[in-house]
Formats: sequence, structure tokens, C-alpha cells
Amino acid sequence: MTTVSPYPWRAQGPSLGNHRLSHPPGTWQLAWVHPLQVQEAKNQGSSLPKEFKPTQTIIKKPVQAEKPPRAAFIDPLTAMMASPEDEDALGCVSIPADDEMDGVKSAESRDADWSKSELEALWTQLGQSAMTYHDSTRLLIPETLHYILDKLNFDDESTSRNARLDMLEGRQTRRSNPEKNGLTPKQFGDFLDLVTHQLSNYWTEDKRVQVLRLVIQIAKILGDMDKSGLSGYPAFFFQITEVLVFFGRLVYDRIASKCPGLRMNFTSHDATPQAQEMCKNWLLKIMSIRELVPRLYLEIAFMRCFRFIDDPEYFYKTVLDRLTKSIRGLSDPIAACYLRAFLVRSAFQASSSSHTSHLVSIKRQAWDCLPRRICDCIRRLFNGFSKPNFLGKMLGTKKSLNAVDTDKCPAFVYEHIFAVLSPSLIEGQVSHVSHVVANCAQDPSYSVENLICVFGKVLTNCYSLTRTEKLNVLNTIWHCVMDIHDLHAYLKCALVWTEFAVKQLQPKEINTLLGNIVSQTNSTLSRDGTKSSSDQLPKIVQSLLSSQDSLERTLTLSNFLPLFNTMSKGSQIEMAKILVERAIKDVQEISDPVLSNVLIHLCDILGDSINALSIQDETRQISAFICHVIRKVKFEDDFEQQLKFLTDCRGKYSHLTAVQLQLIHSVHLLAIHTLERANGKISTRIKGFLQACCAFVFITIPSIDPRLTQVQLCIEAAEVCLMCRCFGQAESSLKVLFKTLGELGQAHEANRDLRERKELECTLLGLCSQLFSLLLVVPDNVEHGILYMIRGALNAINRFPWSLHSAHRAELNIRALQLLSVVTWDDYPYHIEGLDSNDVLYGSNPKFVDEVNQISGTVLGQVLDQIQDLTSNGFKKESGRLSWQLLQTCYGFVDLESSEKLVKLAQKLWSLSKKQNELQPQTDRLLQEVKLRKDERATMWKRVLL
Amino acid sequence: MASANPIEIIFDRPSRTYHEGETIQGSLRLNNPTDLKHDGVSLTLNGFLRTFVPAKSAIGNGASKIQSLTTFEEMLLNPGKLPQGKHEVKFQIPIRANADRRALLETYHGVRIDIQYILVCEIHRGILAQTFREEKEIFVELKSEWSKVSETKPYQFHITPDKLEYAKRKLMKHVPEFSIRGCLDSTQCSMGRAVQGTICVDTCTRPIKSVEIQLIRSEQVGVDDPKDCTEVQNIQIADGDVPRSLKIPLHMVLPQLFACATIKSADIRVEFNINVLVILDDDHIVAESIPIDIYRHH
Repeated sequence: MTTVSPYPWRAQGPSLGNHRLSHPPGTWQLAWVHPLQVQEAKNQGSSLPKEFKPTQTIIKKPVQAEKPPRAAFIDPLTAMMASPEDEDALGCVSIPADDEMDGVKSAESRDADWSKSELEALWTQLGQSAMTYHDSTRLLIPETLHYILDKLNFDDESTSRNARLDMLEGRQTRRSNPEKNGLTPKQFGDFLDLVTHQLSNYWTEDKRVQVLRLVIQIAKILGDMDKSGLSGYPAFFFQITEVLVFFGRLVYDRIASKCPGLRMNFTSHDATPQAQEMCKNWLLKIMSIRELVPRLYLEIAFMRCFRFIDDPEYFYKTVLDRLTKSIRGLSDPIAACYLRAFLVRSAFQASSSSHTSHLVSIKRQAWDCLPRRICDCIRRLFNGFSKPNFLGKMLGTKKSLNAVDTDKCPAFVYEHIFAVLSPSLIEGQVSHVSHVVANCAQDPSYSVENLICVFGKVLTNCYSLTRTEKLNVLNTIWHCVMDIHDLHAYLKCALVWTEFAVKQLQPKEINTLLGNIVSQTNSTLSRDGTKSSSDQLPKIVQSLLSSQDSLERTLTLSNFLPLFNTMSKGSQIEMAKILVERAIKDVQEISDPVLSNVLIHLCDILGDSINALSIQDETRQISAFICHVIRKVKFEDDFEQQLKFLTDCRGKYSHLTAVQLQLIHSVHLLAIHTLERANGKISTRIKGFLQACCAFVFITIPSIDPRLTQVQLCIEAAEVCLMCRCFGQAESSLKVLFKTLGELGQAHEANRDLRERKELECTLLGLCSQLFSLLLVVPDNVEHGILYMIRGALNAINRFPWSLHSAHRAELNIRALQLLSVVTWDDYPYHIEGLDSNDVLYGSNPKFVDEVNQISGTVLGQVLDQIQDLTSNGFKKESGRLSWQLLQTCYGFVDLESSEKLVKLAQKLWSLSKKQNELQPQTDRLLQEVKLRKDERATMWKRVLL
Repeated sequence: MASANPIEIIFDRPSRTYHEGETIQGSLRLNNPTDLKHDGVSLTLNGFLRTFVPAKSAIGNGASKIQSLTTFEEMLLNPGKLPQGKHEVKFQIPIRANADRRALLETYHGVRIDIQYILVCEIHRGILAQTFREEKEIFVELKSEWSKVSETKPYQFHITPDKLEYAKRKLMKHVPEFSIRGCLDSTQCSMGRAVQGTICVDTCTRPIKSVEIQLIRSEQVGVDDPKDCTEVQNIQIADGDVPRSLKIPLHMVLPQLFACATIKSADIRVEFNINVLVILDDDHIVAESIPIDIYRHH
């Protein structure tokens, strides 16, 4: 029994009869060649292969690898239009009211070259790409076809598992219900396989009515699809048209079978009356279908059969003409376009080459009505419109522009034109075009924002406009933009046009624009009551950043801050970071009050964004930003203002330690600068100021977290206070220092981590040495006794819980000895300007010197105890080192003649030092030096050492 | 054996369409699997006009009347025996009206009026055995005699809200603004051809759901009987909201059986109308009714 199949190229076996295949089987090219072209038609039944096994998918990948399916979908009509290289052929698009379509003739000649096989290849390629492109859309099958749908087995694993579950629970299987959810293109392909199988069954059983009914229902799907809002139209279109073509072939074969011995180029006269009768009957049946879409599709599928009853000339003149025009009755432009594509393809297939002139006219008519609504194929059509000549035609003269007014060339067409326009083409026309755009805004059915955006983008890159032109355009367009009520759309346009203004116009205009944006946004937000969550505003701000002007000028635009504040909180923080970072890089010194205001405002926002939940890195980054900004803000000569600023900052950023640190340093710097500038003439005002600075620091230090930093800061503060002649402050600082040391000691005692202890102690060693250096110049307070400060320091140090068996305390004491020695000098090696240190106060008073000696003695005793301790505990190296240091101190600072005990001490120390091998080079050096010395003091030393 | 029908009637014309005065030529093909003993093979052509008048009151059925237009009977084969196998018997039947009757009428299947010509072939097999019977309808066409047949009278129409006639004044408020222009190529339509024209929706403030063209027949049996208008077929011209100012062709092929040339005679009248409908999205319909004359052109 012969079975029929729509897809002859799917035949597996070699049983293709006598037909020579022009392409190998299994490929996508049309394997089945029209029998009438090859040889005489067979008499018995269908000339299709005998064995037919439906494969699973309708469209499968091609065997040859040279033609991979293209990812980008090119709709058939674009493809059928001339390729972009041939610009004249674009005259196929009929722009009404003008004779500028001089391209028609060349189009004709070009179409004559287009062979059927090319078209077929293109068609199949498009079908494949449609399948891959629209893989996820779903199509609902109408109920009339559900009986076929039920036969389809969906091999969905979850279905079977859930089906069992549902059955157990007594529920109806609902999952993956194709009737409710629709079919994917692949599933639809399987479904259509079943449909064609059913069609073949009906046909062989001679149930022509059922065949027709089924085909009508299938064709109806194409008409109803648009109403369900489907975007995957192409995928289903290609599959359904295959079924329709199959049907057409069935009918044709049946009619042809009634004409035995039909020659290749037969005319209607060759057809037998039976064939003609049958053809007419089929035609009548098809023409009486009520619905437009199935009727048109079936008429087109039936096209080839017209040969039996009419001559081709008549056919092309009337029937094709009528069909083309009837498609205008389809309101959905997508469906209409695809129907036209099917028409053209079928017409090509049915025709021979002599009739292409008619086909060209069809194509022109097919393009006669540009659909009003946005159409997928139109968009792609315009990809080919970037050729200058064509655009020159379209926009060249005003006349043609007027012809292409809103009625004939609706706004959305402009939109797509502009998208591919190069700016040079629009230059001479700018004002006219802007008026056209403004007119388009009047059209209530079209939302003009896309057009405005695209227009703006084009103009942004257009560099040869004059200033007046630019302003005019901006004015015109901005009026339209202001009328847009939807905030999102408004902001989209505003963004594009802000970029235009930034690139092309002066800050003044940018400012006005921003002002408008702000007021519009605010009024909309207050009216709607919703928080602006759009990301457009940050984009606008960022576009401002890209301006060629300096950042300063941008930030100082009067409307910048309002714009910034309109953004949502999150975006504000983001933008603030970006802006501050840029500012830090670009701006060296911030003295302009407006700019500093803006930056401070940004810093405030950043500072406020830090809370207990912020991550450490964020805190660090933002603190760094703020510190930078603080450093850069300068108030020129107004130091009081600066101090006020720093005080404000302290209040605002109290939670950021790094910033507080920076503030303290800034205040110190400020004080010193002020002092320098005062040049020795310290007025009351300046003195007050300096005291204020010191007070600031004094207050701020305790809030710094790590105590060690506090210690350091106290020392620094004391230095600065002394330099500023705020003695009281200096003393307080030092007292605080000792207290902090005590607290530090308490914490240190509790700390068991050996490495941390060691680190701390080393740091402390350095700090205390620094302290000693400072204490040299600290004058005594009469109330508190001699060397009160130094004694306090020594007490603090000795009370500190140094690690057991560490040499630090001893080292510090040795350094203290050095200090004490220098304290007795007549003239200290360094002074602080304007401050009388102890050398002046005491003037080497003998009583003073005695006191100092006493203290030294105590200290020395402590050192010797320490050394003893170390030696007895086996830390020979440490003790040796310490002894050497002590010896050095003695050598440098001690007068050996004053006491015999000292000589003995020196000798002992010398012997201890010599025992250490690594100290050998140093001891040798000392020996050398002593030998070479010729003065009196040296004799004593020579006695000791040698 | 009895269930298989051995008779097949083949006509010389596959369309089975004849005119008055012509002769139906054809052959009977008998294919009996076994020997067949019969009492004669007869061939009858029965042409009749059947009219149906519905009851005037609610009770009772309507009256159905059959008038015979042509009757012709012929005994093709005398009683005898047909051996097994295929046999072919040629026949010729003239088509002419009965003597008393007026001219033949065209084949027409309508609601109240039915004109049919049926060719019946019977193999009589006595009282006890089942008679084999095969019938086929043939189609009779008559040439139209009007002198104005070749004239084309195009019909232009322009539908605007003020030209509408309403049953109720109330509906006036809901009428949207619209302007629909169109034309029929001719109000004289030929049976074998299609009714053609164009329609163009200039403006319409409401979206349009569909534009359709409808063929309406109106039948009248007798003078007293009111006209009965029914729809023959409905062809959709446009689907959805059509673009404005665009000419869309109207095209409807007249059906073979359900329409015929306009009949205006004493006892029956069959006339046709074309309705162009524009259905708006709120299911209101704007329609233009155009009376047409159908003739048969040769």
C-alpha cells in the first residue's frame, strides 16, 4: 500500500523509485524533484516514495556542515529583498507619491536570476533558525485537534512519576498538560507528524472531507496565534506551511493522476475533463471556507493546481493579484508578512522562469502597505538601510521628507531608520527632522520615547552642528520630552539627551536640563508617592562624569546636588563613591566653597552608610576617601574656619577611627602652619587658636581605639603643645600619657600571646625613647619638684609589666641614664623655640645636679639588678649586651673620676663585655679609640680598659 | 452478496451538468460477482420542484408540495440473466420539460425551494429479492435570457453613521465615527464567476473585529407568502483591526448548488442579496445590503 508523506527527503531507503535526486537523501535541500520536469508522470497514485517512516522531528540539522543555522533570524521578506550590496534594488520598497523608485527595473533583472533552488535553500535555512531561535515559546492547540494531541506521547520523566503519584492520590494528571500549557516547537513538530500521518490515512481512505477539515484547522492555528500573544510565530509557521504544502501536493497528484500521459509543460487544454472537474470542485470547496486565514493559506497551497483549469497568464494577472491584495485584510502584521512570504514562495515554486515579471509586481504590492504597529521584520529590514544613497533618497530633499510624513511613514519607521543612521546624513536636515519628531509626538497611538532616544543618540555623535542648531533641536525635543508622563520613559529620554548636552553643549545648558529633570522627577515622585527605584538617575550622573569638562565644573553645577539627592539611597552611596574617587584623583586642592560643600555632602552620605553591619573593607575604603577629602579641603588663610571644619568632621565621623586619626594630624599640621605664618608674632587671637587646637587634640585622643596609638599621639600632642607654648596642655598630655601607659600595662599583663607581647614591647621601647627625647626639653613645673616629668616617666616605665627575662626595661633605664646625664648640662643640644627648658631654669644648680645624681643612682641600681638577674638566669648574651650598652653610656656620659665605685663598675662591665664574642669588634674599636685619645679623661679610661 | 451494489453510473461529462435540450449520455457499469437473475434494469430521470411552506400557526407542520418538471423512464435491459463479471450498458436520456409544464428550472438546493434532477437506475429482482438501486443527481443549467446580461453595473457604497437606519433611536449614542467606502464591480453577477469588489475603511474610531461578505437568498413561494431570507454563505474578508485607507478586495465565489440564477416567476421567486458586514469589537455590526441579479453566462 502506498503511503504518502510530506517529507520525501526523509525517506530512509533507496526506494525512491525512478526519481533522480538532485541532492543526496537526508539533506535539507528539496530532494524530491517535480516529476513533470524529469519525465512523464506515473499513472498509479502518488509518485512519492513507497516507504515512509516518520522521523521524530520535522526539521533536523543538515548533513553538510557548511551551512550551520544562523543564530540571528532573518525573516524571509528581508531575505528576499535585495542584499545590502545592491542598493538600487531597494527600490522594491514602494515609497508612495514619488517617482524616485528608479530601482524597479534592476530589481526585475535581479529577480530573474533568483532560482527556485536558492529560494528553497533560503526557506529551509530560515525554518531551521526559527526552530532554534524560538525554542521556548509555547503554542496552545485548539480543542478540535485534541484528539490527535492525545495520541502524542510526551516522554517526560516527571510526568510518569507524578502521574503515578497523582493516581495514588486520586488526582487527575495535570502536569505537563499539553492542552493547557501548550507545545514547544519541537513537540509541535511531533504533533504535526501525527497530523500528517492522519492526513495520509484519510487520503488513502478517500475521506476527502476529513482531510479538508483537518487542514483547515491546522491553517487556522496560524491565524489564531497572534491573538495569544505568541512571539515564536516563525517556528510554528514553517512547520505548518510544510503540512499545507504537503496537502497541496496531495491534491495536485490526485488531479494529475486523472490526466494520464501529461507532458511536461502542459496547458489547461491538455487536462482531461475529469481532472478539470476535480480541480474546480476543490477550488470551490476552498473558496467557500469562511475564515480568511485558512482560506488564503489553502488557496496558496492549491496554487499549482491552477494550471489545469487556466492558463498561467490569466492566473498571474488576476489570481495572484487578488491574493496579494486580500492579505491586506489580515490585521496582524506579523501574520500578514508571513502569509506574504508563503505566497511568494509558493508562487515561485509554481511558476516557471518566464513569469518573474509578474512576481516582481506581486512583491511590490506585498510591500505596498507598511503595517502600523511595530513589526519584527520591519526592524530587520532597516538593517539594510544604512546605505547612503537610499537615505539620500529618503531624506535628501524636503519634498520627499514631507511625502514621508506621519501618515505614510509612521513614527516607528523613523525609529528604526534612526537606529542605523549615520550622523553625517542628518546634518543638513536637523531642524526639519526635529520637527518631524515633534510631530510624531502628537500621535497618541505611539509612545514617542524610543524615537526620541534614538534621535538623541544619533545627534550625540554628530559633531558638525552649529550651536544655534543644537539649541533649537534641544528646545524642540525637550518640549516633547516634558510631555511624557511615564517617569521611566521620561528618564530614558532625559538620559540620552543629557549625554547629548554633555558632549555638545555648555554647562549652562546642562544645568538647565538637570534642573528640569530634577523638578520633573520630584513632582512625579511626590505625586505617585513611590520611591524612585530606577537606575536611570545614576546613569545620568555618570554621563555627566564623562564630560570633557573638569570634574569641578560638573560638581559645581547648581542642579547637580538636587539631582543627586533625588536618587535613591543605595544609588547615592554608589555614586558618591565613584564621584569622590574621581575627585581625589582629579582635584588637587579644594578651596572653592561650593565644591567643598558638594564633596562634604558626598562624604557625609558615605559616612552615614557605615554602620555596625558594614564590612571591614568597606569601612576602610570609605574612611580612606574621607581622609583624602579632608586633607584636600583648604580654607586658604582662614584657619579658624578650617578648625571649625575639622571639628565638624570630628562630630560627623566619630565612628570612623581612621578619620579621627586624620583629623588629629590635620589639626597638628594646622597649628604648626599657623605658627609658621605668624612668624613669631603671636597675637592673642592666634594664641587662642592654638590653644583651641591643642584642646581639640586633647579631647579627641582618648576616643582613638588602640592604646598604643594613643601613646604615640600623646607624645606628638605634647610636642605640638610645647611648640604652641601651651604648657598646661603639654603637661596634661604627658599625664594622660602616663595614665595610658598604666592602662596599657594592665592590658599587657593579661595578654598571654607571646608574639603580640614582644611586638608591643618593641614598639613601646621606641616610643619611650622618643618620649625621653621630648622630656629633655620639658621645663619643670615649680610646684611639683625637680624633674617631675622624667620621674613620672621612669615610674611608669618601671611599673610596666615587661615580659620576664626581657631586656627592654633595662635598656630603657640605660637610655634614661643618658637623658639624666644630658639634663645636667649647661646647654641642651636642642630647644623648642620660645620655651625655656631646664637648662635655663636651673642653670646647672648644684642642688639640682645632686638631685639628678640621686635619681641616676637609683636607675643605675635597677639596671645592675637587671643585668644580674639576667646573668644568673643564664641569659648571658642579653646581659652581656646590656653591660656593653651600659659601658658605652658610661663612656659617653659618665665622669669616672667622681667615684671609685664607678671605676670598679666600669671594670666589671668591661670584663663582662669582653666575654661576649660577638661584641669583640666593638670592644676592639673602643680600645683603639681609647688608646688614641690624649686628653685627661682618657687616662682614667685607659686604666679601666687596659 | 446482496450488500455490494454492482451498479455504477458513468456520465460522459464529469461535471454532470446539462442544459435543456441536451441529451445525457452515459453508461451503466454493472459488476456482479456472481450470475445475476433480474427482472429488468430501468433508468429513470426525475426532475422536480419541491416547495415548503411553513405552518402559519404554531401547530402543525408546513405543507410540502412537489411539482414534477421532467420525467423520463426507460427500460434498459429486459428481464434476463446477467452473467458474472463486468457489463456496460450505454444510455441516452434527453432533458426536456414535461409537456404540460413550463420551462425547466435550474438545479437549486434551497431552504423552502428545492429543484433537483435525479437519475435512478434500478435492477428489479422480483418481489422477494432486494432491488439494487443507484441514484445520481445531475445538474441542469439554463441560459439566462436577459438582454442586459453583458452590462456591468458597478455599485458604489459609502457607509457613514448618518446613513444608518436604526430600529431604535437609543442605539444612536453608541455609534462610533466611521467612514467605509466600497464598491461591487457589478450587481449583475454570473453564476460561474465570483462576486468581486473592493472595500476600504477610511476611518473608524472603534477597532474592527471582522469584515465579511454574506450571500443572502430570499425565497418566496406564492404571492401571499412572505419572503424568507436566509444566509447562503459567509466569507470573511478581513480579520482583526484592518489598516485604514487601504483597499481590500471583496471576492466571493457563488456556490454551485445553493445559488442559482435569479428566478422571478409567478409561483416562486428566488432572489439574492449581498451583505457587506463590518463587525466592530463590541459586536455591533455595520452592514450594507446590496441586491444582486444572478445570471448564467455562456
